[in-house]
Amino acid sequence: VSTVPLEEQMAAALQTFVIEADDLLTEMEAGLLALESGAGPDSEEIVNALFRAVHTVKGSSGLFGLDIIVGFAHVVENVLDLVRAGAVPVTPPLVGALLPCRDHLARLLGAVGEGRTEATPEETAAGETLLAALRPFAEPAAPAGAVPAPRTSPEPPVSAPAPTGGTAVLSLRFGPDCLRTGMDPLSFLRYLATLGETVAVECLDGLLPGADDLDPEQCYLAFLVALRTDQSREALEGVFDFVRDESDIRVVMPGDPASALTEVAASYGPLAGTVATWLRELADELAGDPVREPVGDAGDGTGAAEELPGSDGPRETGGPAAPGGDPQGSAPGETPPVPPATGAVRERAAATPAAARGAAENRTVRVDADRLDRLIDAVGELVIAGAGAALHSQLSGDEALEGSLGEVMRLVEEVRDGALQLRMVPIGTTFSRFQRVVRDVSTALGKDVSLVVSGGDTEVDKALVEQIGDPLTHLVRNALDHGIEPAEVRAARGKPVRGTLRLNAFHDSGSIVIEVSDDGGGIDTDAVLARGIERGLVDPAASPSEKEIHALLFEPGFSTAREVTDLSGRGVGMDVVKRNVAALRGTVDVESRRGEGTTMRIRLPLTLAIIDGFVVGVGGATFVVPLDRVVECVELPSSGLTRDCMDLRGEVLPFVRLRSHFAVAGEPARRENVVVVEYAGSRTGLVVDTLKGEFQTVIKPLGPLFGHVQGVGGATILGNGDVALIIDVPVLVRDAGRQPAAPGS
Amino acid sequence: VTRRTGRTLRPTGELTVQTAAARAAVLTSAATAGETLTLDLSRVTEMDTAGLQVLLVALAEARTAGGAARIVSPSPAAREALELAGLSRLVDPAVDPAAPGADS
Repeated sequence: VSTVPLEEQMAAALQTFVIEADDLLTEMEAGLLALESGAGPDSEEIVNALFRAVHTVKGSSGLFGLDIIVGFAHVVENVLDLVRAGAVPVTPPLVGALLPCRDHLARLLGAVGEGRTEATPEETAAGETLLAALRPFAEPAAPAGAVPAPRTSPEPPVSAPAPTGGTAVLSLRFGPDCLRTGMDPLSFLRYLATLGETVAVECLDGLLPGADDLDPEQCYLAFLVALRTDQSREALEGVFDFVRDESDIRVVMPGDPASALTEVAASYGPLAGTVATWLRELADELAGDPVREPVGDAGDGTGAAEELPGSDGPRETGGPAAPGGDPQGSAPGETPPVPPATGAVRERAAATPAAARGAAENRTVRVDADRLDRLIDAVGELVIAGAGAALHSQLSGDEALEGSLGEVMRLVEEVRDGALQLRMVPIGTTFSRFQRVVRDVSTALGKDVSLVVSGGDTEVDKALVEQIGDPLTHLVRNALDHGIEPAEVRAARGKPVRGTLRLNAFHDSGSIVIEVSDDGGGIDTDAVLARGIERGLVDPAASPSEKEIHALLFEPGFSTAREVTDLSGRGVGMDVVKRNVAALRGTVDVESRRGEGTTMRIRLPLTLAIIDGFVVGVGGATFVVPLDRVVECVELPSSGLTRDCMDLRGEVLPFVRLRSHFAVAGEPARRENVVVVEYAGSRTGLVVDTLKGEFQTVIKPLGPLFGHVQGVGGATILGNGDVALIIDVPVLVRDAGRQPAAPGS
Repeated sequence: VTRRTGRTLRPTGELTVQTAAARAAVLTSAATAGETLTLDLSRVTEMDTAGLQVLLVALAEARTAGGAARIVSPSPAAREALELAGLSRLVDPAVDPAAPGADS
């Protein structure tokens, strides 16, 4: 028996839904973009996938009572259904109308993920605008000869499903645990009622035990539903996707052979008699119904297959509208029962995707990122504790102990690597998001740009992936806006009119490198320098190197855009990119050739959780400097010091005294050392008492108490149990020229 | 309509899987031989399948005990749940004339 409170389970189910729906919407976006760029023979399959995605989102939203999503998705689904039936052609305007609808769904879902299930007035208004844009496509094109289904008078798909179809019979036996997992059968019934007209519902309580044996949280009831609907079998079955595995859900469509109902009754075992009786009564009740073929008793109405219009299996191509047909023309003979063989084939086809899904679920496990973080945190502690134990064993001089501890440490490191590996995800998923960015931005700019992605399987820490999205987006927009020239300029320069933007990723000595390259005009160094001088960033008399000029791009408030565009020319951005990347302990650099293009290169550590550190001591305190920032260590000269600078082989090196910066008590050591660190091309010295060597360390975030402390990026615990602060080199370097923090103030 | 005697239970608040376990004990053991147990649902704010099951068991237990039981005055939430499950007929219309299914 579960001890997790129901609210939590519901919330968990909702979260799962949001995550899975989000995946579906991501697929939908990819599908739409593929359609737009001309998918060729695959387009039919893509349209089907789009339809299924929207349909599933709608169905699942209905279960959670998210009416706003259901209503919106319903219209989108109807349009896709028309596309699927071939009644509406795939055109760029259609894709252009559908993409923002997808975004809207994503926004609504995002709100649900944050716990808000009601739309704001703005969202409602936005939704209506989008649906209005979609409306032209909701009317199918004039019936062409190629349209396979006999849709002489298709209903306007934006209206709610009119109960003109046949009567489907659904047998719903939910798993015994469905109540505990927050899946209330009544919710399904409530949603079904929106898909048509409920003719009859029978609650089968034959399995309910007496009071003494009742488990109030177990589901004993089964339901039989007769639903007059024009929805397809797929659509009705799709309603139960969420509970399919543990439930016995059977859908008998109008036109299915009578044996299908007999099977339903038989599946109830001891209750078969009750079910059969109900079905017979239903059949009698529906006897006057012109749409519904009699059920239960074989022999009447089945086997009319020869009357099937266009008997090459048009039901599949006709989509959900086919079973019902239109109200005017649906004399009984025109609603053909499907021959048993066809029914069986269809069922097998329906089973395959479910099986494939099951296999995929077995290969991957969805894990809450927080749990993973806790695991990695615990493993980090283990590494630290292990280092402490190793220290003690060394001191004890017990060689056997030392040997076995060495083995333990080796295993611990293996576990740590494995745990970190769990958080690694291919960067390709992030890259694929940029198809959309490139499409939208280049359309807005009136440029023709193709995106080429490589190295998508390069793995990177998930936390990093999440945080690199924004800087990357900015670089991409910037390249599209400022990098790639307008088509006429490109033509004049003898370049292909279509620009190319490349995203590339690869591993390079413990770092991941992400490149954003364009084949545009390159950086106009003269313009950049002129702007730099104009902004007072460069001395007019200086003659900076190309690299220094490129560095100007990342200065706050720098923008060479002639006019401020909507996209990237606001003069904020590149400096923010640099700051965001630096916050991830990464760097950005630029490589550019005039007339040939520009490459922006982001270099990031593979993981955020563990760094190689260089341990230094100041009085009684210990600090860790990220090793990748350390250039060298020298002794602090006892003479020749100006206020905060020293002479390093003929160059002026500004330095920061950690003792005064962090107000460490005590007198400076007689001999002090300088750790030379480099950040963004400039070197700074950190004056410390002692150098203690390298140490691999797990970064622990500092509590809010330390939030205001400048120059500290985190903390770690050393092998001997002491806490050491991790130096935030970029901040210290930036502050190096300024006054050190006044101690004690 | 015969005059009925017996206990009336008026569950208040949720009659759902969250409360079903707590409610079940009272609701399903209240029936006595020869009496009519009245389940007044006017104060039910929410009802799901679990709540429905408890009611059905309560009705069945009353019959087993040689008594009778009836559901009266369902709140909108309770009425909706009963309607969805096709169980509107369980509502005793004598007490609540507005209830559908008055023909049975």
